[in-house]
Amino acid sequence: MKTVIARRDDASPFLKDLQASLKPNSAASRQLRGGIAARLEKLTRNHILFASASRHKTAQRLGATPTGYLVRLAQSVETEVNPGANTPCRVYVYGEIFSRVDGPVKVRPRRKQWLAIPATRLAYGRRPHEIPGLRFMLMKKDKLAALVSTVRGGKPDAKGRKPVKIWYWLKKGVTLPQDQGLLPTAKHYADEMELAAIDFLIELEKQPRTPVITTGRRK
Amino acid sequence: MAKKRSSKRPRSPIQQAVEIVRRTSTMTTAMSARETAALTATMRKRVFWSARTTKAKYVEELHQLVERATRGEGDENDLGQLRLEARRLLAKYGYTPEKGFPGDAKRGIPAAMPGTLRDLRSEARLNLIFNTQAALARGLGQKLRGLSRLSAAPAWELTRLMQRAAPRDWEERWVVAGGSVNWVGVYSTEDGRMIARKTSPIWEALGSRALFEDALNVDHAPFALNSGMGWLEMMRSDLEDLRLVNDRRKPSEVERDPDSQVEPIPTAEEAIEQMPEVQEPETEEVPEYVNPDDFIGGQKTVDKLLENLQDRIAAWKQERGL
Repeated sequence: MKTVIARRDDASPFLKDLQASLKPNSAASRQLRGGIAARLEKLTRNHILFASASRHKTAQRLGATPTGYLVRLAQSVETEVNPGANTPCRVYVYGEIFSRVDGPVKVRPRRKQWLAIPATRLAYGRRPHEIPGLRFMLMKKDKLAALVSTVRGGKPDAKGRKPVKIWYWLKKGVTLPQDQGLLPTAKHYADEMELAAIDFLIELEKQPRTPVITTGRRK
Repeated sequence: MAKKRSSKRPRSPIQQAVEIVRRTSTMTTAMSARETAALTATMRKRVFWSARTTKAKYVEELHQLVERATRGEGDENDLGQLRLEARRLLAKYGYTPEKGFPGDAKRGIPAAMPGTLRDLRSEARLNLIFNTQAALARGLGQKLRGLSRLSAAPAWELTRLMQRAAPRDWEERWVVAGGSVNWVGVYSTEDGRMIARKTSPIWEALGSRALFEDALNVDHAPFALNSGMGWLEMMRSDLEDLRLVNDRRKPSEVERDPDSQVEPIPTAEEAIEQMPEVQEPETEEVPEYVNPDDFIGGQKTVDKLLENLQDRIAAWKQERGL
């Protein structure tokens, strides 16, 4: 799934002035837009990488190794530069997880009856079929179940039931809360575009001035 | 935030990485991982194989699973699902760790201890294949994309992207690799950050098996097996306070084992040339020099824009408390 973040690169008075002074489709205009795109891509990628460091709650709770899902998605960020004037710069991010920026996301099982949520370190990052000897245990009809294994040598309870170890909780669906911090804010993007404009002007300031060629008036 | 969804898919870095995987052909081999290390870099780039894997149909189908691992996204492309499917295939083709594929004993392939890296069904083995192949394709895609904007972002920073239980000493590798290429294109940093120009030969040295036993013979991330290392792009302005250790352009001086069959690793530019099948990214066809005629009003407009630049930068910083 692809999320498109479209930002106008003449959003602030500073950018507007600069864009208005450039001839459309000129090399300088392309250079400025290329610089903006590179900065927006870097901002988005680094933001996702930073966000990934604090989004391992389940793995941390279970003492498991994070899967690196967000790190992989960060590597797939890209931008599109439009040469025409007044067209927005687009940043593309791939991954269903980014829907959470806009609001809570309901997750339902596809082609299966239940969603399997790991309950132990060894279950994290593994499919239930990879763990032999699990059995289904219904807890609340159509709401909650679990995949369990019998604890060897465990003492049965008063009703004669042997103790079990829960490997996965099974649910009919979960709602992931909104997570606006997964992507940079509009202000982050605006600041980064202005920085790209400053970079562009600094480079322009550094370059030698073209010699002024004066020609005499023809008689 | 102004956002909108679109159904039209452009050519993404993931698609590019998948294409890189797709264009490789498959090969069966009875050789061990150590023996296949001697295969040439070009062959490694063009052919997919797995050590001690002699069943052609299995290698072909495993290759398709690798393609899905590279794509990554989607509820059927996660590592657990891919492992399950690979194990189903191995069972279908009669593989057992003790006997291998039918006929393996005659080929002299030794039995594997179940659950170890030599066991084709093991989680460790399958994770290594999927993770390494996907990371290599993504890394190559990132390199090609990064080389297409050398002007705006001329350097990479090597950094840890994924945590490892026993991380290797990459600062030490950086010193070894840098020394082997006379620090060409490498920036000097006070805080130990590992930054070099995208065209620096240090990237080739970091991924060279001649220098590091676990290297993948590539000049891009992840450089070594299961390294967890990756690149961050550095903008031109990020490099202003840094200086190059040695800016002389000279050929790579990576020391190579003379007995090794490993061929010289191509530079980034050569690597692109060697891959005609991969659609190269569009390059920024813009000169370093900005022509004042590109501004409405020419040099006068440029002068006007630059007149208050320092004030503008100061105001910008003050506004943001920098």
